[in-house]
Amino acid sequence: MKPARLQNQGFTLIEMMLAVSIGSLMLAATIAASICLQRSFNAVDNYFSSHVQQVRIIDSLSRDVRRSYIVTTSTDLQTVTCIIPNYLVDNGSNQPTRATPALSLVGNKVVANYQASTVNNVTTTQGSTAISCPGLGLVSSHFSNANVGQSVVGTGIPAGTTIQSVSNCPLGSCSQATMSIAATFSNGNATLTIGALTNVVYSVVNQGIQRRENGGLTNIAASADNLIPATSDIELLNTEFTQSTVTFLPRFARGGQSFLDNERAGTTIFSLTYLRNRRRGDG
Amino acid sequence: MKTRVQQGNSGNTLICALCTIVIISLIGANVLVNCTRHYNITAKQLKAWKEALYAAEAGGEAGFDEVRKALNPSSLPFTTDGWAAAPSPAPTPGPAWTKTISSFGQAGSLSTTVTIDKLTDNTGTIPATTPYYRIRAVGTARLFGLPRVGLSDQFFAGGPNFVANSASRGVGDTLLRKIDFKFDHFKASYGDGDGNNLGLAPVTYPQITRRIELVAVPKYYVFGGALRVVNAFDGPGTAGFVDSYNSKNPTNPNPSSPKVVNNDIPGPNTTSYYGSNPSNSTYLADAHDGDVSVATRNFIEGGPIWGDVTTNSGNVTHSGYQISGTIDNNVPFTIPPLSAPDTTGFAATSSGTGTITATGTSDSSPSGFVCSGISGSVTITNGNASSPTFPYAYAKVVVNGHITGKVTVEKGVTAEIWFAGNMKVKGEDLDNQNVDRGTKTANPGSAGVPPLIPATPADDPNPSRVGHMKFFGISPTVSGTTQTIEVDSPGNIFATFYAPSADIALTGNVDVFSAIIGRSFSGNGNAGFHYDKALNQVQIGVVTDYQIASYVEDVR
Repeated sequence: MKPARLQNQGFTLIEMMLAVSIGSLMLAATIAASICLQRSFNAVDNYFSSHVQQVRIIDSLSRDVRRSYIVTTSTDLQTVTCIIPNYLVDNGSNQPTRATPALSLVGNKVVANYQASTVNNVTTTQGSTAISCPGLGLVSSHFSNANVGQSVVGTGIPAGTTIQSVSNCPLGSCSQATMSIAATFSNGNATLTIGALTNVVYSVVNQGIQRRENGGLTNIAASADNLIPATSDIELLNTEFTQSTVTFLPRFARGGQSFLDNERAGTTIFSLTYLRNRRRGDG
Repeated sequence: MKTRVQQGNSGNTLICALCTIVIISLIGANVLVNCTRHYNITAKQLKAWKEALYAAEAGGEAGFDEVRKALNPSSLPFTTDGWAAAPSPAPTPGPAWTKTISSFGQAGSLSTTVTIDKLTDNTGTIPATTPYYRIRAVGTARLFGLPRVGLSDQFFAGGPNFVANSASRGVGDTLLRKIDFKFDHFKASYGDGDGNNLGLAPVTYPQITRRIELVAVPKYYVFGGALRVVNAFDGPGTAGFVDSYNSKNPTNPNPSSPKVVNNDIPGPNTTSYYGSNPSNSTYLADAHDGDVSVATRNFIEGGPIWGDVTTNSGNVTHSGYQISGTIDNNVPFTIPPLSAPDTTGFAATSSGTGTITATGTSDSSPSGFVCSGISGSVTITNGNASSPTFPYAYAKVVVNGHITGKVTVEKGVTAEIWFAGNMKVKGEDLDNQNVDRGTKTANPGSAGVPPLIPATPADDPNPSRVGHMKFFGISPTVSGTTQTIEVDSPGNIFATFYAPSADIALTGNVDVFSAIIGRSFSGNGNAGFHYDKALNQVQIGVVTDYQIASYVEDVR
């Protein structure tokens, strides 16, 4: 019986070069695929991360708008100011209590406030800090000495305005007051809420969205994907709502401006929120 | 036999392929894990967070619905359907009630607990006898998905705990969607919300809770139209009409004595107060709001109606009737019966005849009187007439029987007259001596500014002459009994009538400056009915419903 012959001869040079070439190509393809996959992973991760921030912005803003007395937006629609009832009483400890609502009359309607009061039939003048109430305190709501230093909000009153002084106060019921900031338009029958109010401002700072509550900072969202919020406030006769959108530009997007605009538009999420307190007192 | 040994070298290739698969799989798995985490955040958390609010608002609605039952004496609130007294410490000052609605939503994952406490206003904004309600609702939603989902929060703050001052507020308030994985964070940190009953409360599943607070306040009725009846309308008479005017209109030269002018619409040879004055559009607009509303299809018209008309399944059309405004035959409504007011502390007047002196200084704190009937002549005088700052007075008279005599209300007095029996009078018996847009009137019966009055006394806060004399028909408590109000000529009437259980009849040649709520209305002859639009801005002290006046969310 003839033993089998072992085939132990080596590769020829051509075979070796061919094998190395093919192997290199396969390795390069694998590396390239890995890099692409890694980039894809990063893109997906960033996209979802920015989407989470989007939702967070919308949710946080909607919650504040929903419980606001009044909302104003800047002309570029990127700064939103919410005036919120001061629901919690600061007892100087870590344990606040909930405030008891106090009632006020606005015309024939009853409204409720927390640590604040409502003054109606107020005359405001565009460009003037002076405001006034007609008649006597027995007849209608008026200002009081306790209002000095307190926040005041109402249609046509800029955010952050306070009462600086009151005057003409027979029996402690004052018919005139001076604000810290001038009214933005004239109104002969304005309704103002005066007292301890919570002022919340949303603004864009670099790549982040900040929320400042009475000056205290909370970062709502941050993303390297260039988040852009836009909120418009719609105030009608008897109701008020905001429409907000938040977009971002995915970092993997490459192309001309038109392409980028489309990419951003494709990430838009939208929210419409009514001010629950805006209709208070109405049927 | 020849044996051939195959010694291949394909093992390296296999290892390379496996490594490649492993690397790619790891990358893919990593992507999937991250996507799942984000999905949990954006979908599961968001779902639970939003549904917790829906659950809380459902509780708020349930509470508000229970509050509205307070208007119906036969359906006392907070006594059935799962309501019970709130456990200690109940909201103060109380009383308080609570109810839990559980296992609704997807797989019964939602629940809500609502607590209502009854409050009383002591500032004079509303009468202390009329309660308002605080409704607190907690909505809880189970968090589905993996128990450990990333919060992806990037927040920071200074302090370790919550404080009301946001500048030093800690991490406990920085998260938007607070998730209770093992324990209820709110109960652990804030107890019932006011620091009572602090403690660890384990949760069965990971959950999210949201808390809202609503304030339900009484809604007072205002006369928004000329006539509103729940059963039947038959009027005005063929020679009469229904129209309106505005006593507050400063361009009205003499609102107490409206000028009668010839009318050209909707029918010939009819008259209206300023109704067809083509040279003054303001008067024209004021004259066409004599709205009539009927809660049934029972509508019969004699003369023209200058205003809108609504019925419930009626067949009223412009071609068949003389109606200047819009017509809607699909407007159902109800008016709750009017209960007798609380007369605790009211002064008794024995005979219902004589003089009553009013000294109350507001609608919510009138001088109270009670009598068995008015068959003679009762005059309500102004006890504040000599006041240098506020020469006006308010009175509330409760008549437990019939009104068949004369009632006089002096200038500066706003009088509510509640009666449990029937009324049968002539127009001249209801003597309202006030004027529209009363200004600086200190002495009853005198116009202008008397010498004794300081330079800046208040104008009359009640601008409408009609609004100074308000009749309220108390609904009979005996089933099937109907109240009647009959007013005959001679004499014009300046008064309002709120009598949801009364059949009201105006007969003869009377001009009625008024607004009416009744069970039915009939007017014949040439009785003219004129609604004062200024009444739309004067509430009459009758609570017809409750409404939500405030909404806050406890975001802790």
